[in-house]
Amino acid sequence: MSLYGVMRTSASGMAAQASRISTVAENVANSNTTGYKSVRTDFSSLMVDTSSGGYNSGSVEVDTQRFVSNQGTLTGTGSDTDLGIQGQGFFVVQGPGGETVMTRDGSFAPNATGQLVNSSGYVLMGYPLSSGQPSIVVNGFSGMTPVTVNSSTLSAVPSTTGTFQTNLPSDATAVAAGNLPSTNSASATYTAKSSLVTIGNLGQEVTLDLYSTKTGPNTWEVTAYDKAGASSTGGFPYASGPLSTQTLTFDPNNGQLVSGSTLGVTVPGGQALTLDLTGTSQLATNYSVTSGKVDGNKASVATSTEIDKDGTVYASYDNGSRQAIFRIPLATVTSPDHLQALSGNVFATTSQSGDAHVGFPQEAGFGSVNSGVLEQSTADIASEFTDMIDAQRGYTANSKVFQTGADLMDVLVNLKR
Amino acid sequence: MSGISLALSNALSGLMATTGQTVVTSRNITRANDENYTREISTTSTSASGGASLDPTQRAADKKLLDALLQSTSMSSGQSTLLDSITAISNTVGDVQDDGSVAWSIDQFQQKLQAVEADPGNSTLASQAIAGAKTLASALNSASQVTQAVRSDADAGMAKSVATINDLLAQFQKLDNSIAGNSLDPDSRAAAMDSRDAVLKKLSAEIGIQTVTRSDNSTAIYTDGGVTLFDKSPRLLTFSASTTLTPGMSGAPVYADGVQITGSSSPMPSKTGNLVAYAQVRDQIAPTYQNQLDEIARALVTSFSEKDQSASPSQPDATGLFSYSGSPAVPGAALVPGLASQIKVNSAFDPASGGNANLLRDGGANGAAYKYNTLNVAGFQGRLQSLAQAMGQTQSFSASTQLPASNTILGLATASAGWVEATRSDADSKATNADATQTRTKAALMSATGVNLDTEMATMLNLEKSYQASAKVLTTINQMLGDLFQVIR
Repeated sequence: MSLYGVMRTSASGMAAQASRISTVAENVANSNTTGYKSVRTDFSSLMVDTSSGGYNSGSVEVDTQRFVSNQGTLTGTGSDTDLGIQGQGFFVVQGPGGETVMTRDGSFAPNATGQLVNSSGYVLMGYPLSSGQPSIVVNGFSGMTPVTVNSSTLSAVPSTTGTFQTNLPSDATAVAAGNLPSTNSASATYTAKSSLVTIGNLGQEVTLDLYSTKTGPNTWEVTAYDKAGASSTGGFPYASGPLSTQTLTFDPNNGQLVSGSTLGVTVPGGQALTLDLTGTSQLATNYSVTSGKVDGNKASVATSTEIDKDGTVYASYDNGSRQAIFRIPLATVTSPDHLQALSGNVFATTSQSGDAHVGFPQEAGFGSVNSGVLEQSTADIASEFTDMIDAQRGYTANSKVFQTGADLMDVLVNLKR
Repeated sequence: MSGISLALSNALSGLMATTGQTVVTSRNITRANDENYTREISTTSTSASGGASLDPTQRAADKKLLDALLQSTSMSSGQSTLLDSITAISNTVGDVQDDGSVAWSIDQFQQKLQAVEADPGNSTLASQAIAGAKTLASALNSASQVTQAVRSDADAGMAKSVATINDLLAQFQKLDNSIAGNSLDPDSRAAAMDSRDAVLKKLSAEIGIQTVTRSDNSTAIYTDGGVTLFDKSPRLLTFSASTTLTPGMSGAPVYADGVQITGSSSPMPSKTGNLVAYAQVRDQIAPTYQNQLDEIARALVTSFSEKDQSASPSQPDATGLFSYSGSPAVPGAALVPGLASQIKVNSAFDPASGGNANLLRDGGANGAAYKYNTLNVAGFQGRLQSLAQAMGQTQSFSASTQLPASNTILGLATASAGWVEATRSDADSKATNADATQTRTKAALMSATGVNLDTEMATMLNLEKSYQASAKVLTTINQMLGDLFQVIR
């Protein structure tokens, strides 16, 4: 019955075009949805057995495909916690029901408890760095916790290394051995003094007094004291002897340091600190500190959050330091285009897409995380509209075929009066 | 992603980038007259999708010129403070020829003494000589008073300067920590750096400083003597102001980081700035002038002292016409601190206080044993002659006057006035030079980092054109989409 076949075929064509219009409608509706991936309707022919007497028309089958792997344009927003992925990968997020899914929608903002939640209500997951670099599970989401940005307190980092580079005036008068600062006598004299702030085990500031004293031609002595033990006038004698003393010798030909390039000090209430004295010179000019720097962070309150391209979340503290507190991983699958799209711009793995594997941004196979940008929808209005016009024409054409089939059927039915 | 949406997104990024640059330009223009403002430079670069993205704003900072400005500011403000204080002293000294100056008073007194010597019996002349002596004593008193007032002011100035420095260091800590902490957006960061430079400029007026900027943009401050003032946290200055400063009493030194930074015994002395200038006035210039006044007073008291005139002298020398708090004992050869503020005419000589002016001729103010004119002769010249001689005689003075050790009293007073004037004119020329250097450095810094309105206007025109172009692209895309919608109907 080829006439019925004509009507069935054209009906399938209309249904297919209707489906196509539906995808266009979804794409246009989501043309401003962050992280939305456009969907496309593909057609394939469906044939039926044909007898030698006449042709039995087949029909058209509809298949929709979502181009999840397409990169959307990253547009700047100005908010540091808005994230966009340049390249492959998905954020791992947790839904309100506790389900772990993947998304490209990085419109995160801290909620009341400091968790980063995106506009669809999904919480960003990451690895806490409080106990060192995380050991990640490549094929699963275990070990991840919600990334929390404001409640993290800084665990203080005691000072261990530093530099102290000065010019010692070569024309200074040498101090007699009995009056050197290292003797800690009340009559001790010195050529120059500086102080450095170091950080102890508990994040407390420990100030070291560093005395530079000429002991003879081209030889100097650097002595470190704990400032807390200074006398009431701020000088000698200190409550306890020197923390460390180092003898420096200089080349008389160019004033450069020959020996004594490090000063090892155990910070009171802190760690062993190695001060690098390399670069210290003895030239005939004023005493001046050319570089004085010690590492370490004291405990203080986080003031802002910074997210690096490699996914490391830093907390900036009011004392000027910053500390890595979380690392945001990315997940990807073998065939992203076969991921199942769910409401809320999220994707779930399917048997066709393959299982998710987890890695860090900027590693091989993963893109980079950009702060302050959002990934725009990949739906392009102009191409959607041309598709729509095309679908409309196709639908009309199918309906004409159907109508013709129906008219012919009418003619056939009217043969018998 | 491609097609019209990309075109739209790129045109939009162009608009946003241009807006961002306009913000920077407008900030440059509005703050063109702010000398603490450093010009900002805004550039754009291509983003991943081909649009324009705004680069972080750069500051046209120049550390070397800023350092030079800080140095010249310390020098200039210090010299100007020094000049102000010396001028205060110099005003009391006045011209040697003028009424009221110590040298003039000595000269007048000497002339009157000679007049009495010529006519010893004339008690009117004797009274005039006593009046001259009183003028001289009060000239010394008031000069000494002003000198101590200058010292007290300098001490108060040091206290104020220390308070200002500590306050500025506390401000600096807040700014420096926020800059080093990456906790600011680029705009506030630039503003914070401007404020930090402004604090440094203010700080340099008070004390000479050197700065070291580290990789994280934090800055350490050292005095020009090398003492740490700020490194992560401020090393606050300590100073205990003196409530009163009497001659010979030295004021407290200033400590920074446990190191004495003012005064001659400082191991790492600061060299420039208000604080140092005040300390110099308080500890060196004013005390030296006070020493000179004290030595003039001591010479007067000693020269007019009376000796025991008995056949076998048993009484010690006693002060005569000029007395002081230690009278009747005569001061020794050494400097007596504060003598100039105590010297007065013995009331026994002063007719106004019921005294007898003829004691100048006769002696004996300290009792009969000291009487020179034992025969009560009206024309007795012996004592007057020896007094006039003593006035004209060279005497030796303390080295702490910083004047020639051997001089007459009038010579010392004249040399003292000369010393004050020389110190003042030296400070004046140094202040003028330092001020000129500071003005030039400031101009150089302004031209390197300040805002040039012409450039900004040209930039603004460029930005206007590119904004128009981006907007035109948007209009065109809108037109194209409109055409597409026409097709659908």
